[in-house]
Amino acid sequence: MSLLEIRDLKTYYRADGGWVRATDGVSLSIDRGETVGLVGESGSGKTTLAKSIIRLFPDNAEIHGGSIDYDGTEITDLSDKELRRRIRWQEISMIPQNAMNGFDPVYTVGQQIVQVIRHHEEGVSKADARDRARDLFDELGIEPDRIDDYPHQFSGGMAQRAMIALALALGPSLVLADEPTTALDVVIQDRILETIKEKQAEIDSAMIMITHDMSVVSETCDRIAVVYGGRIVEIADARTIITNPRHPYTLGLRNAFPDISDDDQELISIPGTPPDLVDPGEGCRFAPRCPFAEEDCWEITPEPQEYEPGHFVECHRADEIDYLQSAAGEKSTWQDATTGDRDAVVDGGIVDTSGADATETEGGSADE
Amino acid sequence: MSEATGRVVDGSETYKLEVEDLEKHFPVNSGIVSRILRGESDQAVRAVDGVSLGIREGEAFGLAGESGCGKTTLGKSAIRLLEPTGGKIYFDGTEITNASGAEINRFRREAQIIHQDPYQSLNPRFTVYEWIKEPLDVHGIGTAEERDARVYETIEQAGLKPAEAYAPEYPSELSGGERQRVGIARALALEPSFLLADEPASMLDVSIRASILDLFKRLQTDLGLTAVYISHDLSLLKHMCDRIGIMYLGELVEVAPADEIINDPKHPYTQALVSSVPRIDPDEDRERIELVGEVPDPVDMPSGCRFHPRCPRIVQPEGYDFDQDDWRAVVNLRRDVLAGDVDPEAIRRNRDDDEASALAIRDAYDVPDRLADAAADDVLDAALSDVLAGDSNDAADVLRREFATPCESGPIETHQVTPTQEAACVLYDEDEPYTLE
Amino acid sequence: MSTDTDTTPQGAVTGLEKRIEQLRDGLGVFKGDRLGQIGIALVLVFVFVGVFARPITIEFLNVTIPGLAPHDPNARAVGGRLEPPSLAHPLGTTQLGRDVLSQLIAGTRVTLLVGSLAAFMAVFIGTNVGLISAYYGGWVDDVLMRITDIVYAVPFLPFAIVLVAIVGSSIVNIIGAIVLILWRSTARVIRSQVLSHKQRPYVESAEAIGASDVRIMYKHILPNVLPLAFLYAAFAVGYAVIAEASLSFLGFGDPNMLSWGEMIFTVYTADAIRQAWWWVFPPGIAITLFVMSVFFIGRTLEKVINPELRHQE
Repeated sequence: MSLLEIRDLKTYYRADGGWVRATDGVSLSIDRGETVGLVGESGSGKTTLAKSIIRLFPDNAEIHGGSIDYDGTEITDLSDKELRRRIRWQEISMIPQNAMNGFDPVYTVGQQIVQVIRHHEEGVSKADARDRARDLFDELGIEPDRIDDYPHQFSGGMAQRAMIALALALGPSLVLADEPTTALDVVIQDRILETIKEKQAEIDSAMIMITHDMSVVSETCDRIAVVYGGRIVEIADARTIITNPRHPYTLGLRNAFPDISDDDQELISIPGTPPDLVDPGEGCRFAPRCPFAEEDCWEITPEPQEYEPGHFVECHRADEIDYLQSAAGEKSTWQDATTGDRDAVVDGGIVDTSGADATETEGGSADE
Repeated sequence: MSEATGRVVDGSETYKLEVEDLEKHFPVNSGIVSRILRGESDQAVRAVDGVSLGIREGEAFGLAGESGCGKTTLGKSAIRLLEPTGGKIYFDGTEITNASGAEINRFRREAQIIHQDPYQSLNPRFTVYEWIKEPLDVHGIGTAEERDARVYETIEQAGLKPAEAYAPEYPSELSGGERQRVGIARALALEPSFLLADEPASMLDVSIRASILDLFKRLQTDLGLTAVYISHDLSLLKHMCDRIGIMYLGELVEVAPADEIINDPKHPYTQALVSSVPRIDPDEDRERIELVGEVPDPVDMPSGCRFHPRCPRIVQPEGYDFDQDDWRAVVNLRRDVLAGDVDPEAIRRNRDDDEASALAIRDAYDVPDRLADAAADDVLDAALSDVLAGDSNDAADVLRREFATPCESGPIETHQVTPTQEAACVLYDEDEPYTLE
Repeated sequence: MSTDTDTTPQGAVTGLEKRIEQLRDGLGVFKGDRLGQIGIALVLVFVFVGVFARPITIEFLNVTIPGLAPHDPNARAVGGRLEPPSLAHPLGTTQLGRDVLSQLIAGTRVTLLVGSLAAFMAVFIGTNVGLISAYYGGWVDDVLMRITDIVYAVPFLPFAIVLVAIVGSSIVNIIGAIVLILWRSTARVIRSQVLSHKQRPYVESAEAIGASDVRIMYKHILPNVLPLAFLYAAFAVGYAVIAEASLSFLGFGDPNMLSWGEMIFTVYTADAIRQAWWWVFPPGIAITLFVMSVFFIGRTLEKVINPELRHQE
């Protein structure tokens, strides 16, 4: 029995033109102690998906359907108050992208951790909570005495570590990490990821790691879900996604991501822009950018198919894996995808930015 | 990689852009109060501190390093967008360090910059057409018709087609990738020969990043541009550049051809940096090099090699033989003793011990209870006894004298490690070889 | 999107269209904003009344547009003394038998003139001071901002009274006094805006192409801070009107120019405040209404500058 079971989840944002379907029919299950990566471009809905679990989204967002079963509790049935009291933070916590924004600047970091501990666990004395905060700091490699510092006295890496301390203070069973290292330099990123992994193993929590960085998910995750246009288009164990992907979008992402170990890699971008999620219509959402799109792709929405155990792909042509993989490695494949003048659509032509992008930003989830 | 990589540097080579001992210090206090009380504080952030570097004609050069290492300041000072506080700049062999008037104007036509943030680097009140035309107006180039034609030509050169469709748009109507292309078009309008691209793709989505990088590559080939790319992303620089320079705390620590610096870095800092980059390939096992502490404050620089307080390969003192990890631990302890920062009482309290002890101090710094080298252990033991007795000064004297490392003193020379690779590290000083296990 | 490949500089032409479109978008904030609409309507009425208050003679056409004021506001004894409102004199008469309605209408012109001129000049000076101060920084900034600080320390009324007492109370001097004080807040606010814009990469991009300081200040930065200057201009009009009224009420107004403040002053000196409510209230209400409508407009304009406010309703 898995820890978290999301079924057909739909989270929409209210916008001028109607509903933005940021998460549109996503199913995902996570086992205890497992790390699942969500990768995709900004505006793909990966952050919305994760935030839907603990309803940490702006006022104009709404869950429109589906269920989220957390350890036997149906989260979507809980009131905001119950969710806050019973689930958020003690069961499911979150490491935000920018730790500095996660802390309240007028309290010391220690005060905030103590407050979180005492808010969720009854009968813990201030002194005990403080001791636990100090221990956490020590374990995460920050001087315990620095719990009396204010957030602005911390460097970016240290603030991120303190945020991890805060997220793990109550020993949650699931941690949502939203681009936890995107704003950091590689040296610090490496150390933070290592710390997260260690602590996660220690308290045996599961994790959802949201990122656009293929190398980060490859190193830290057990399974990877590739998110596009509000749906999970491919999900499998990390190795399969990296070495043997079937969905053209996953193949495209691999092509576009520079690999430091590859001496003569040819970077290939994916033409076009993410789809307008206000009225996505029928058909595969990647079809307009896909070099392999056929007639069916435009008309019939693909359903997830299991190719190997645990490897689900939403693509009509996923069984042509050999052809897809070899053709996707050619730059010309992607250039020819767009009829005629490729440059006109290199970055998607002139787009209406009021669509999906804008909503994602309002949702507080600038992915980059 | 292009042919340029293989070219061996010889002394007579002329550079497109060359900086000599370039220095850019920012005063810490520049308000009126400090000006009245001038002399009280002449502290400065030494963002760029004596960098010498030559960029070859037509090459793609990458500048990398962590945030705050001074790579952007170096780039901007080199093209006089910031006024350097010291050193010299040569462009096409002509010194432009103090150029002004017509001379700097001529230079401004030749060297252009592409900014990181496509959402902030275009003036929201200018249309694409006006924005690209402005440099032509400023320099009074050609007739009105010629300028007009040039605008459309550059828009297309930057990959925005049809140009007529883009020309009347305001930046708010364009996507991030398109805005970045508009920025590039503006830089190209004056037909420059040198481009400085400051994190040109870091704000863009992965999927379109490649197309912008492609555009840069194509422009370099088609127009023979020389380009400097500033980025914290080593994978990207490796992909884009012929050569890469790594900066740490205002200094250039290593310069080498891109493949060599990534596959076989020489400077310990570069080694640590490269080892921290996560790898996509699940079969690749990278050896992580852990660094001590964080990047120090650029106001209060370490002496000697700036990396030595964190360097895992810090050179051992003469006459002693440490295990390298132990030596690193001893150096950390020594540094705090020298600074008078070791407080046995605080260590005792943290550990809940009954009594302060030398072992506790060793343990707090990960120094083993006994060092392999008995002579070294005696020195350390004596110093720690002094610390416990409250004689911090005596302890500091002993440690300073006995455990001196060449890394902490004097200016660090840049050594030619291989014919194409140079690193500023005493490990490569051939006159005084420091063996390392 | 047009795709024809005509070689005329259509970028410039369509740029103009775009600009008009932008302006229309900007004015779009008034749509659905009742208070803003009321503000605009009231101001338009005041402007109309102000312009056509007195007869306008166009010499070469030999036409005279009749004024809105039913009587000559300065003519004595058009009615009885301190007559309450009647059909002949809807707002009654003054102590000297002048028609209050005519005075009110005539006063509109002076008030509008003082308000708009003073506000325009104050914002003009303030914007330039703020722009130059922030752009050049260093000692220029120091000097200009210390002057601004000093002006901030000057209390308006005593300053204006002393100034007017020395140089004489003419409308020009009154406007001068208001401008000398009013520019300070605009300077401060514009300076902080410019400081933030100066840091943006588009300014560096202008430096990189070799644009001159003047060009960067006035072509690049100014258009970006102009909306804020407009907002301050709207508020400044309100303040200027109040300032003029205060000065006039205290007896330092231009004796030859009839303004609303001047009217209340006359009521006061005639010792008629208690009995002649029809004489006191109209100018008082006019001042309040006008200032209020200007602030309503300002409040709406604020949404153009700070779109976040649009969501807060």
